[in-house]
Amino acid sequence: MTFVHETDGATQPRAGNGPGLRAPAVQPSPGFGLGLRTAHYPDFLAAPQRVDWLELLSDNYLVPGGKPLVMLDRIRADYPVVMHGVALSIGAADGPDDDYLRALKALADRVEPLWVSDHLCWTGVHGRVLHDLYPLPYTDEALDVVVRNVDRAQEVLRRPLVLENVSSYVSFRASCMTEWAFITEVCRRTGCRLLLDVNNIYVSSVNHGFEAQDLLDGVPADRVQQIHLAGHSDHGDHIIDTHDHPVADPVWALYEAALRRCGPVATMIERDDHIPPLPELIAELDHARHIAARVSGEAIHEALA
Amino acid sequence: MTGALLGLQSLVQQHVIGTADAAALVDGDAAHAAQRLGIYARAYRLRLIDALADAHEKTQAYLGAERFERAALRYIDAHPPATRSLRWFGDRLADALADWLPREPAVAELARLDWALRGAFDGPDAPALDAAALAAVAPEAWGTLRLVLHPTARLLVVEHNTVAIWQALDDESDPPPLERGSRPVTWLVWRKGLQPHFRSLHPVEAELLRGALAGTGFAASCERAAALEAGDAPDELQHRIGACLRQWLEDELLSGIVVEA
Repeated sequence: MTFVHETDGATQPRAGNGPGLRAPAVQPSPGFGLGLRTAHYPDFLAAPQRVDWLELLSDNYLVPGGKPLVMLDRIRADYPVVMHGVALSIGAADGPDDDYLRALKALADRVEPLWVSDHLCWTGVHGRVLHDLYPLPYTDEALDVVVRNVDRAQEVLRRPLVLENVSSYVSFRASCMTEWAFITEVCRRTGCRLLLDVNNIYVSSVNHGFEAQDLLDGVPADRVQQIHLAGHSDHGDHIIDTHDHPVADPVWALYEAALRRCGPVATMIERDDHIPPLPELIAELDHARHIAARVSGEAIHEALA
Repeated sequence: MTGALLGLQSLVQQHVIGTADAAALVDGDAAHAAQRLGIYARAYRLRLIDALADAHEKTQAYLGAERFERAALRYIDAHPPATRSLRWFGDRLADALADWLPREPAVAELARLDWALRGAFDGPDAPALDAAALAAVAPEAWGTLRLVLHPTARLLVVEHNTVAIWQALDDESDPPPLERGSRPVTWLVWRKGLQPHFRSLHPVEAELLRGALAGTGFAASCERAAALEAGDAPDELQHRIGACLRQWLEDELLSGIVVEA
């Protein structure tokens, strides 16, 4: 193992609300990034772009060869990258899949990402892979399963895993703790880090009727390695996480609250459908930069007062 | 309670696939639970239909969106996905279409061509032999050597004017009416550089490449090709084989020579 599990103390939420100094539980922020999509390959190859880092979808590059890997190598030469997957199924009772973990490790050896992330969810059992991100029941047994699977993943990947909170449309009668209590325990017991998807927090809070701020306040701020921002589709009584719209206003507000709590965090925008020209996404990323600069400025001002 | 998680996940999975009802596990009244689980069940099918369409673009264009979707839904029910990557989900669609649409054989042939091109796109990389490597082979070695093709090379035997249909769809023009050819034609699909390619083969070239893919020695393949073209003059055959080798170098189709000890 090349990393050290942090002590229990390091996972406790920091005292006070200011960003302050970040505990060394996560890597320092590389700045503001975007999800790498094939539509934007030509832009990234043609000229430098105002994007500090890129998130690649690991599963799209778990192929034997050809253009995807050639493009990836070329773009990787110019940008730091992080790896983000959808098929780890870290919450599956019969997981994890060692072949998949080894394939991920081989890709990580090739691209040397800043970190590797996937989702705190399950995608199928009994050999089926349904290619969706299903929520877990928040039970002691599910916690034990996730801890076992994260330990195994971290052992094969030889790095701490970064786990993302998913959007969900159902919650289970079996649950006996909140989502944020569950996330906190996973962090405490495995040393993993968090990818806070602020849009997912908002989507789930509306779908299940909890306060988004409660989740934000309930997870260990010093474990937040990365933030996702994305758009969604509002269906009135529920919201679907579609990644096909610009980031919505309530999500921007929640992002600002997340930065006040966590300090500077690597932030990126995810767009998976209706992908606009790259300059449009960079303009949206500039809005995140603007919010982050304001939050940092206010923190410094407060510290000097 | 041990085993409760696996039970819950099995039942939710069956609900999504459409073989059980998991509403009792979910918070809220029955109508609410059914509505919310329905979001997952719909998303499952839509995502898989998209993946099949993405890998079978011309098949979808030929069938039309509605018929393609019906076939895709039938395939999804017959073969719920079991691979970590969606990339491999459509591997049996062409076979399924051959069974389901026996009176429209072009559909399965189109699906085979779509799938082969997708396989060539991101199949394994290999170095390409140059003319110097071939020229360096000692004359006596030709009797025992084997040619190794690029790992993306595949042969498709096509009985109809499917490739003409594929090309018309690619040009977004009206496809020609389906016709059965006078004899089956073998097509080669492979990747040159970063780009998938395909072309039709003369029977001699098809036999030589079939031999290479099967690991047969080049001399033995030449003899089998000669038997196919028994009417040709020997020097004509020799000329054709030489032209094949030059074409394969140009096509970056050769990635190795194995000289048997």
